[in-house]
Amino acid sequence: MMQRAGIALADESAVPTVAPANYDDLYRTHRPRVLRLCRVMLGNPDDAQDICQEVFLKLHRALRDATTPVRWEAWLTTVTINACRDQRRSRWWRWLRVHETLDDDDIPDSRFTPEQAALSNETRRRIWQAVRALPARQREVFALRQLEGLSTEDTAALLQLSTGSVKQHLFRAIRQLRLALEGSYA
Amino acid sequence: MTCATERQLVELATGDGDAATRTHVAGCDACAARLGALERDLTVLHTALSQEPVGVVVHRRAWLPVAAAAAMAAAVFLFTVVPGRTPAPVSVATAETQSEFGEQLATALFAEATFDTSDAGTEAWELETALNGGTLCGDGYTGDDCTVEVVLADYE
Repeated sequence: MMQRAGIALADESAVPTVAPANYDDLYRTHRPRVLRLCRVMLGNPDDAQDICQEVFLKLHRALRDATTPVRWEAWLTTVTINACRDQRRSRWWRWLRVHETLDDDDIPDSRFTPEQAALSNETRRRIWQAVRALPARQREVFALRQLEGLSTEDTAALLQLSTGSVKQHLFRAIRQLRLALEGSYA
Repeated sequence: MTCATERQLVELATGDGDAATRTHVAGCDACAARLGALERDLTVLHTALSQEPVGVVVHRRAWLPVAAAAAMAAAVFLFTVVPGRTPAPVSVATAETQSEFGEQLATALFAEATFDTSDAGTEAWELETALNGGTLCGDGYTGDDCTVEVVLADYE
């Protein structure tokens, strides 16, 4: 089962995560998860890098404006989701998505044996294809619940959905993504 | 209790399951095996999605500068090199023409209708969105792409 990191968005009485208000520390701590979130939300490594940079540029500006302790982890998650949505809704980006082609000649990962690498690349390719095919909302819910480890309540608060809706989106996303894994364990 | 549904198992695996399902799964080999398979899949998904995306050609930016340069060259040619070219006048609907149309429409539909001319020419995208069945966001976009307002004070 996934380990939960938990961002106290729903529980206002919780002690805020007063992360070190130092840009370098925040960047080092949160960049990997922000980048991962962007990758899943956008499905493209280049776009994910761009949006990740944009998010940390906003963080740099926000740090100057912050006068009291801020839960930067939660702030970063919300800003990342917004930035990815901005990117998704741009017409230029949509056009690129339509005209993008899939690469069938991945270079095998040198960390694995050829057999493991073949399975690993094939499985990963199918998983990423399935993720890209998910509706945006399902992708967001899956990323926040399963990758970020947010609770159903926190995810609902962040995405402004009901908890029932979050469960429904998560169930559909998992069912769809599991189809991509069929035959992977043969 | 009958065997757990797929949805109940997903809820259990993602931390939202109820006690009755948990108890049943603990005593049912078939459901335990299904839950095990589900948890294994979730672990594989988590691992795969924590790595670089696979399967996308990322060479698109190679032609981007070429396309931009070609577009710019075409624009320069059209507006500077082609002699005697003047831009065609563009008609824009003004508030007056819109209100006039509104009054005619109101008269045609209702015997004593009036049309508030102060509304003319404002927020056309709202009407367009509503007519197309969309949900309005504050910033003019619709549906799943609405952004959440981020106020720094909310995170203090």
